Amino acid sequence: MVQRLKMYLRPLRRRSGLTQREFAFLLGLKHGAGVSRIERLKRPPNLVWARASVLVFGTRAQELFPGLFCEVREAVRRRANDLYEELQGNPSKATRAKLDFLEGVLARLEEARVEEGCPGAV
Amino acid sequence: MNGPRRYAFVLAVYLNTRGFAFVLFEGPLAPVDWSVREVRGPKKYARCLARIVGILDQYSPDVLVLQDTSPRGTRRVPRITELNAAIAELAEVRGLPVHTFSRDKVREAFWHYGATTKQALAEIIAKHIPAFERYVPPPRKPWQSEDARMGIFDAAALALTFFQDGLDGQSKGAVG
Repeated sequence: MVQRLKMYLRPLRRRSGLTQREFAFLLGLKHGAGVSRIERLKRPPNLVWARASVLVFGTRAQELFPGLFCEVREAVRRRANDLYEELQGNPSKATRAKLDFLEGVLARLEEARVEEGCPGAV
Repeated sequence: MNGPRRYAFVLAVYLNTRGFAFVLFEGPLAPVDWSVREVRGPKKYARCLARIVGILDQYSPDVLVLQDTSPRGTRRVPRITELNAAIAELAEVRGLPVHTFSRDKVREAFWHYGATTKQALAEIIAKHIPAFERYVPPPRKPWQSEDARMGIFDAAALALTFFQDGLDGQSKGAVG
């Protein structure tokens, strides 16, 4: 399923009936304002909060943060492409191995894009 | 091979004297966001409209569901009728399809559940959507005014009527 929201934290929190303050407590945050900032996409969740959220709601990280996953995937793909272009024509012995590796990375990213239902590259 | 399935975002807005309530669904029985927005004091029309614009900007829904306040639909006070028409116009500008349902149409959609009152309707919706259970207001006494939370169920009922009706709902031409 392609999900529309960048983050499903707010819908899941509200369905569970938890307040921002209560959810902040579960995440180990001091104030509900931190949750508000994450929900309003003002601040990306760090790994600890993301993992805690996944555990609290019993869902997969891709389903909880679909937009974030797509953004990260797209950013990595762009950088991998740039690096691939940059390495082209480099006579070093290691270059061939690096290019092969980057081709693998790009193929995996494309698979992830299809699996996560992210929009195609612009 | 089937491609990834994409659910439409259906936004239902129900206007009342205190402001409005909205429910956003991502597929039937899957509410994404909901709220009662109280707008009191002067410039109620403009402030309501501004808040609805904010919601449309935030979620970019695929479909907007409103109450049918046309002469053939449900009779509401002029302010609400005008505001409903303005919201429909706003949606038209954004190329957003608008579906409207009258109170009778909503009752018809829930008729087989035996819901004849708004209270019964709210209880049926809450039974199907557990997230709304805690918003069901206690039955009101004859001397009490309607609980603001009832707006959530009015909006949800519109959206659920839309889902039940498929895409056969009345088109936006009937608004206002």
